[in-house]
Amino acid sequence: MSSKVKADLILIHAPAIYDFRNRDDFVLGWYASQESSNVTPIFEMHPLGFLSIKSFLGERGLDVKIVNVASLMLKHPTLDVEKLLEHLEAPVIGLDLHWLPHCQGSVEVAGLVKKVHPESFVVFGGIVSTYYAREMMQYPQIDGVIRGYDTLEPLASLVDQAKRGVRGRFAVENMIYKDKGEVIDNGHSYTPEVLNDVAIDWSKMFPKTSSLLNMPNLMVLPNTGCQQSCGWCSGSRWAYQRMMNVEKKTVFHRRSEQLAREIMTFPKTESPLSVYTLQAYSESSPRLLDYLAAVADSGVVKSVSFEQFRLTKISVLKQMVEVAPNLDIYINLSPQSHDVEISRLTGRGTYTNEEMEEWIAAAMDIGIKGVYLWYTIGMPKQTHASVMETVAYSARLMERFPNDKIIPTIFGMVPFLDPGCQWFEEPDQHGYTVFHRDLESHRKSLTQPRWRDAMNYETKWMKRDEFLPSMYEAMQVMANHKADYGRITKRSIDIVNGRIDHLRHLTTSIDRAMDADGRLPASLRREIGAHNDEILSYAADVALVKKPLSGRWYDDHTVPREIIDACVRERAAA
Amino acid sequence: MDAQTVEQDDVHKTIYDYLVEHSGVNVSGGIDPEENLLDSGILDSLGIAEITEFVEKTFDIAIDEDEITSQNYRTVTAFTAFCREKIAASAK
Ligand code: B12
Ligand code: SF4
Repeated sequence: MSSKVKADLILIHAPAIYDFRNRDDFVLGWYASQESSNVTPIFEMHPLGFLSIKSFLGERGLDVKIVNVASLMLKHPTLDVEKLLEHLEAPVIGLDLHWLPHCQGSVEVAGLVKKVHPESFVVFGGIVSTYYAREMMQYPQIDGVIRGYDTLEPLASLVDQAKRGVRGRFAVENMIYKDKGEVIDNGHSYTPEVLNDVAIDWSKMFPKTSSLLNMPNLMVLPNTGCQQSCGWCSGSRWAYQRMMNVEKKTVFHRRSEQLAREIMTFPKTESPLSVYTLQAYSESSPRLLDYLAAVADSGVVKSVSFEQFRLTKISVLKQMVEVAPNLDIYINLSPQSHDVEISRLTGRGTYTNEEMEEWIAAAMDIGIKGVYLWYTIGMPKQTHASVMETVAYSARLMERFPNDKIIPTIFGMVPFLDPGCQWFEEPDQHGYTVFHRDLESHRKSLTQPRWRDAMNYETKWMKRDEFLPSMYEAMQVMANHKADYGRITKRSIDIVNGRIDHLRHLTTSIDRAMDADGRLPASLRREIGAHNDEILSYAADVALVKKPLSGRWYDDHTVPREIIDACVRERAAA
Repeated sequence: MDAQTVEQDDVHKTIYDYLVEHSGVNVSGGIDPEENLLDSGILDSLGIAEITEFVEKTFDIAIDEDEITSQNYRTVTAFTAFCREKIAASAK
């Protein structure tokens, strides 16, 4: 066998659905497009935490390697995953189940890992793992789950013990695990004040290609948790208080020194580097300005985007532009609905449309480069008519700002309402009905032919069957408005229209076939298979323009070419 | 359009017309052949992917990911020269 990838800890990111290749019994990507990240419907981006773990354990002398199986499977469609896993060697192998859409894929890949490495300790972590930690003990392939928003110390401790040969009775905070079949719960006591106290090293994360398609884009996460309690979010104050064993303090910041160190590692890239600053709404203005100044000083970044919960004070916007005159600054706002009553029920609604419009005008005058507006379908009191009114409002907004980069986007909260969020836990009180509660039913739901079977909720105002038609109509009308107001090109709109029409055709054909005799005819399966093959070569943004499935920070940097070749060849030969 | 019969001037005109029609910013005053397409916003990331697909189809050429560089896409002149080279190479 060719060489091996050896480490003290190997972190694996699995595709959302395993094995997504050659599936022709359900439509991939019916819910994928959120435009927020450059990923395909198999969600090949791993948590940023993988990079924190690598740096932190590295500083402790422990070797961590990240293997992005999802991304490798996309790039090499004939890759034999089991063979690839045979080439890995580590006493501890970790997988993320951070986002619920990975519930099927991560558990399946863990099964393969356990099959080829029965001696390795298979551990999970992430937000969803924290919620389902106990239930996850039912899967023979999962040895342990480390709960929490920050697992650096416990994981370092686990890897250190495993390296020294410990195989049971682990002294690892936050871990629930199995010792010779017995489930042992070490509780959830590690709740550090400071989040991920380490700097990520970005210096080698982008290939030395000068291709303009590889627009290098990196992300900085200055905090986790939240002060707000949006009822649909499992990262909210309400959810953290119940899931993360925290009380009053529900936002955990990284130290400014670590952020500064991290910024120093930003590489000089051929194409302009852009930085997406996550959770910026939980940052104080002085910290935000310091951060922005440091990013500007790095001299390698072209644009920065921020999320803001409230309308940032105009005086702060001015300071932002002043401290970073050479940066293009974009701001993300998420009113969720044009209807302020609905917006308030979602936990937002801290401003009216009129206030927002005045603010946008002022922000543009000051020199903010653009504003992205996010609207969501699936909110309380929201009907289809209200959704379409949001779209119409967005058109009026683009008309009011004809020459500015004001980009509204609407998307359905599909297929899942977050386990652990307030409306999932108290559905009746908020007009919600929840259909899948445990992990296993979510797992099964994702590979059902009918899209509606994956939906884990509906509201009093929109039934399950209404979601997809409403979402497709809203996205399509919105995209056409964007084309009318010059936000996307005429060619892009043709692609979008074609794509949404096709998805509508496939999803309704599946429903009809299943209703008729519970099976999918061969001709329809062929169509689904062709669609799935095609969609996997696109990033998930609404323009669906082909982008390379490599060169992104989360693509695989670990597995050497010779191992890939061996795994592709061996499978082809088999 | 048959790749082998593309006249030199046609390449320039085809690219120029495409850019004027599809530019991300207002170019009603025309585009200077030496204007930096990337800095001016005439080509953004989406535009780069789209114009690549467009010239691949129109001139029947194949452009490699590594050839989509700022050098080749910088100006109308540079991009036209690059496309001409590709057309010449594919005609051989
Ligand atoms: C930042 C963020 C993003 C970033 C991701 C950046 C990144 N790569 O991590 C972006 C914007 C790209 C994003 C995308 C998505 N997101 Co998001 N995101 C968030 C946000 C705002 C913060 C998450 C956070 O605080 N992370 C910090 C900590 C918790 O994680 P971390 O440092 O990365 O990792 C630590 C631990 O999690 C743990 N850990 C993680 N992995 C592992 C593995 C092992 C083995 C172990 C031991 C530990 C471990 O240890 C790490 C180190 O301490 C939350 C909302 C919120 N306030 O929580 C939503 C949230 C997590 N996202 C959500 C969703 C749904 C998505 C998408 C699926 C949306 C979509 N349909 O496109 C995509 C998935 C993209 C993909 N995978 O390809 C949901 C998840 C709900 C759910 N139950 O599934 C949330 C809660 C928001 C919401 N309600 O909509 N997201
Ligand atoms: S959705 Fe609301 S609760 Fe969740 S992270 Fe964003 S602001 Fe906080």
